[in-house]
Amino acid sequence: MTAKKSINYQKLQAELDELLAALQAGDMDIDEATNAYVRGQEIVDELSAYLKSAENKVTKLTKDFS
Amino acid sequence: MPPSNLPGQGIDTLTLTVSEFVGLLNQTLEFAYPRVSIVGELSNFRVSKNRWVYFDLKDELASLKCFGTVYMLPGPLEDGLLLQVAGAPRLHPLYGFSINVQTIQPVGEGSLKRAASLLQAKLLAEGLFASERKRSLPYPPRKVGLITSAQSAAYADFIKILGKRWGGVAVDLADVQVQGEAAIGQLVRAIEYFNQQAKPPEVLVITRGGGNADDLAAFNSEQVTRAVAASRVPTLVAIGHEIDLSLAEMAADQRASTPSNAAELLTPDKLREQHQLQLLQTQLALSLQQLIKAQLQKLQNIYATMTETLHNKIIQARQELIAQQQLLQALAPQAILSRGYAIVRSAGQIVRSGKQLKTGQKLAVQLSDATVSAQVEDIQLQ
Repeated sequence: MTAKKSINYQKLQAELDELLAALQAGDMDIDEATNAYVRGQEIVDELSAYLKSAENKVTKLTKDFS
Repeated sequence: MPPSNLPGQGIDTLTLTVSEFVGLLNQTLEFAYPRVSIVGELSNFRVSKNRWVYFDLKDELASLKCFGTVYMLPGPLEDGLLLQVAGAPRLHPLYGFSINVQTIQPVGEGSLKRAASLLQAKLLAEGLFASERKRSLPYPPRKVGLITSAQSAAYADFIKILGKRWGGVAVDLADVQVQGEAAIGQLVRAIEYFNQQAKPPEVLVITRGGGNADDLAAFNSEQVTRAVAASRVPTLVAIGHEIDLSLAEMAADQRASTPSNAAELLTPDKLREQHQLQLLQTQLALSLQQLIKAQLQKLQNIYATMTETLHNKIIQARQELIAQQQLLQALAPQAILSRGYAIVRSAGQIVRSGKQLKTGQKLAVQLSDATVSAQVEDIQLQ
């Protein structure tokens, strides 16, 4: 069984890295920073859930290659 | 003249034309030996018109002529190689006996290595192994085309390690033979199949466990190597535990040392990722805290500056007030009177000039501590 929700792990990971870098740069105003933090937390939750629940799905093709 | 082929006559009594004999012999050969497989040393190898292949297959005591097309060659060949040739024995009406070759495989470790080395040189010259052709693989991929034998330990290892490290990957398995005569065709067809899909996988993993040189021959074949190099889908080829690289591995975008290693190269370790996510989460919170702290500090600085400015203004204003008070005090009429001056009034009006006065006029003279009544006796204007 695959994860219920198909996510692009790489894309979300990249977004998280960007948010953290922006926060660490320290030139955001408080509203922006709070929004970035909330979004970062959402991504962390989503990626954690994916890592805990996602399983691989193997499908054997019926095609005969002989 | 027709042959005297009467009922009851034995073959030894038949009289045949040459063509008839050749035809009869070929029929017999086709019936008795539809396909033979012969191992021997290659000699007199030559290619005619880039299409026809002629060579002799020999051992210490005998030599056989063989004939075929370039399409069934496993790669470049040279005299001295030990080959396994499969084909049909035929007697050509003009050129005599030969084996019509269907497949050729180098056999024996020495020959396999030599054939692979010849092929490697050829493909290298064509640029199939060039590093600039290598593409990076998706990390982690969401869809993998796996080409291997479903019965193999390689398959089990790859799936096991993939599941241990990562989740959410869709693996489409093309179950093919990875050794033996059929392996080359099946591997090539599986690679082409995935490439022709409307939504092909993000990466092709072509794998098998280790084996001897004969077992791995398909991965040193020109067909498989070319199919790997031509794949539009990036390729990862993993042949287990071999010191010598196979040509298919060299043509792949990336190679792995074992099927398990292939799974490791494709995916991060989810336990490690979870740990890193926790670190990231902590960093996120710390960054926000630091940012808030920095903002608070900035506000405190502004407040301090404002307070100081206000304080300075008050001090300045106070000093100005004192100065004005002093000036005011200095200018106050009472103070002037104290210094000996007097204010002269006549009928309540301040007298500023002698011209306002007349002899006998009554005056009120205000001193600092008293008002004195007086009368003008004499006026001397200056």
